[in-house]
Amino acid sequence: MGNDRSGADKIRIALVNNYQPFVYGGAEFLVDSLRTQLLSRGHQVSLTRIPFPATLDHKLINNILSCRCISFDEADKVIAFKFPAYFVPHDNRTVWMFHQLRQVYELWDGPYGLRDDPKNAALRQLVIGSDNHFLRQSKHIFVNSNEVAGRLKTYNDIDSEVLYPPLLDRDRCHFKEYGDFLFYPSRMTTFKRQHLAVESMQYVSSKVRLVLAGKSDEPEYEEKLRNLIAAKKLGDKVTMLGWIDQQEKFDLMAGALACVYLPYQEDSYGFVSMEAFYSRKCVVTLQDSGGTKELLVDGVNGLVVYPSPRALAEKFDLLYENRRLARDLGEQAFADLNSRDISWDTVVEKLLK
Amino acid sequence: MKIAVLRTGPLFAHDDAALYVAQLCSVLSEAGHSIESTSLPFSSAIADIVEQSVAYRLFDLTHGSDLCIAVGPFAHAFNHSNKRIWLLSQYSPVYELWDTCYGASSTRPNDVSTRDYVYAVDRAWLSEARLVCSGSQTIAQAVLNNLGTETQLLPPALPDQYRYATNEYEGFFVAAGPLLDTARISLLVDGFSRTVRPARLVIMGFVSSPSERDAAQQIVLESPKAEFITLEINPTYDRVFKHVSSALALVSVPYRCSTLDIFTVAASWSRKTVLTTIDSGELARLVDHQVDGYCVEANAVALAQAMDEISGDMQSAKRLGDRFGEKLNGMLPTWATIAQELTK
Repeated sequence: MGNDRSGADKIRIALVNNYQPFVYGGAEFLVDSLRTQLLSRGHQVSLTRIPFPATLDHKLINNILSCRCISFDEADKVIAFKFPAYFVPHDNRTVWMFHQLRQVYELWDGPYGLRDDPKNAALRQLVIGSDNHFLRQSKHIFVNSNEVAGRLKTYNDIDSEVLYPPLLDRDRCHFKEYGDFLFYPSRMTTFKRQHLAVESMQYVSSKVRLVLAGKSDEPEYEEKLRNLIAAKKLGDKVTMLGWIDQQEKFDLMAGALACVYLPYQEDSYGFVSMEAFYSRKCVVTLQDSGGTKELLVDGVNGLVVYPSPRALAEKFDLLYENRRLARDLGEQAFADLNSRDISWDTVVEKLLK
Repeated sequence: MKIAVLRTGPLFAHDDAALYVAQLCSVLSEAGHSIESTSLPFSSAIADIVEQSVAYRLFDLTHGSDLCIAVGPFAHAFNHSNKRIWLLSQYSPVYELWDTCYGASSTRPNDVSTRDYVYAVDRAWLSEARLVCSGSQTIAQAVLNNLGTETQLLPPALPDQYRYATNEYEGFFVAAGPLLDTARISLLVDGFSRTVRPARLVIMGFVSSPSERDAAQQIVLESPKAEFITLEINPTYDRVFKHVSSALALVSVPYRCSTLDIFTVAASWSRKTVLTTIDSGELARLVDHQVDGYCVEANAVALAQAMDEISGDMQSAKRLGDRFGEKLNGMLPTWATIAQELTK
């Protein structure tokens, strides 16, 4: 008889994630990368992306119910990532959590979270109750950072293990020079606070420039940034590239003075930080940027700044005026990252154990 | 436009619809649309049907996209204000396989209530759509007869990347597709085992579990002509399409299939004749015996006789293959037309 490629010694793995239609960010990229890695190791892999509602209301309840109703029995193992995809029923379900529904946890009743009113409070209770119940049915819970591990412990009293996500295309990160611009590559969205970087440019005294790149999820936010650049007459100091491809991103990073990443309460260090470090560039972040500080130590391999445009401008000038500092921080960033065990082999081994 | 394309299908097994949807997304994208393609798992176990359909129903994509194209069993359940349905299959156990050894049964109360549920929700959810297209005449007829719903005929075409035409006729028959019970591999192998002329049989089968693979291997091993049979499990699609293009003929004997499977479409592109059986549903409807293919009684003797005829008269096989190719070429739309119809 002929050849048999059924891969009997390999397993069937269902990756399950949520997604916002037409939004492709770090989490989506990471799951696609994991799929590639599992396939390359001979496993059968399916990727299910469950649509997440556009509004946080009763549709959230429908979404939770949907996840509980879909059968993944054909799979030997399920790996799930986000709320409420990690509720799908399976006896051998491992969670690699990127974040919970943050709007009812650490962002609750804040500028980025749900407002505390009776309807939202009921929703919050449901989400937390579901997390408490269904997450505990998982075989293993990994998280992508100490930040997320801490939140899970604080709000749900659930233990987890940190499993750092590696880059798929680490080899494409390279170094060219410490140029004269700061590079901020990220989806343009309120959470990522590109506006703070733009605002800071009105206060810089050096000739440092800022280059923003990334697709916009929120057209009104992109419009706000453009208006800000026009209103403050920053056209010669700030460039908005919009979406660029991966190669262009890595090339820009290679020639940047340093990278900027200013998310609010980020779940993990973010791919931007990692790509910057592998390109021997330090990262400027903010004190309230959450998980970015996972890799980043102020004054050692990056700069952690008070979240204000003036404070940022001061650090931008410092890096421009003191290239040696930019280089030392960048070199240390590269060395620090290489000393950590962040690899796909580790990730696959742990997720499948 | 922002277009969401939703597909339901098996998690790991081969599914023609996955290949069609990939091509559709590519064409829509080239036409300048933003595409978000989503596939959700579908389990065909009758016990899972109600829960699954409810799960799909609870998704609401209205706010994310201008238009939604749904493909696959119960994909029409999705909520969207501008929903287009492309029925490439239905839940066959309660439609074409109802009360057969492969489908649900009127003697089981649970099956009857599930069938009634499926008909009711199909009727309701299809009626919400702006457009309902059927992938075959058989589906269109079934929807009309069982649900009273008129549909537009829109069969899928062969995706561009699988269009191979070698003009070669090597000494083997090929059978390709998921090794489901309805594929009747044992009938096929039995038929081949009774042939007298020298030829080989290559079965390129897709399985989703080791038990399916083991069952197929057992059938082949028990054949007196096992040494002339090659069983390839889960081959790459490229490999299957290339084999189809250089085979003597494609042999396909599914029981009451509702659509033309992708490998038959590929055979027509490669101008290969098709051997099928009179109870093979849409396939039997399309193949005219001795006019553009072979459509014989569903038994091993008839299959063996047809296989011997093909391998003994290559010129005739070529002539019938050419005719089948011409027939389907005139019948199947282009992908540009498919994309246009589904988004108009």
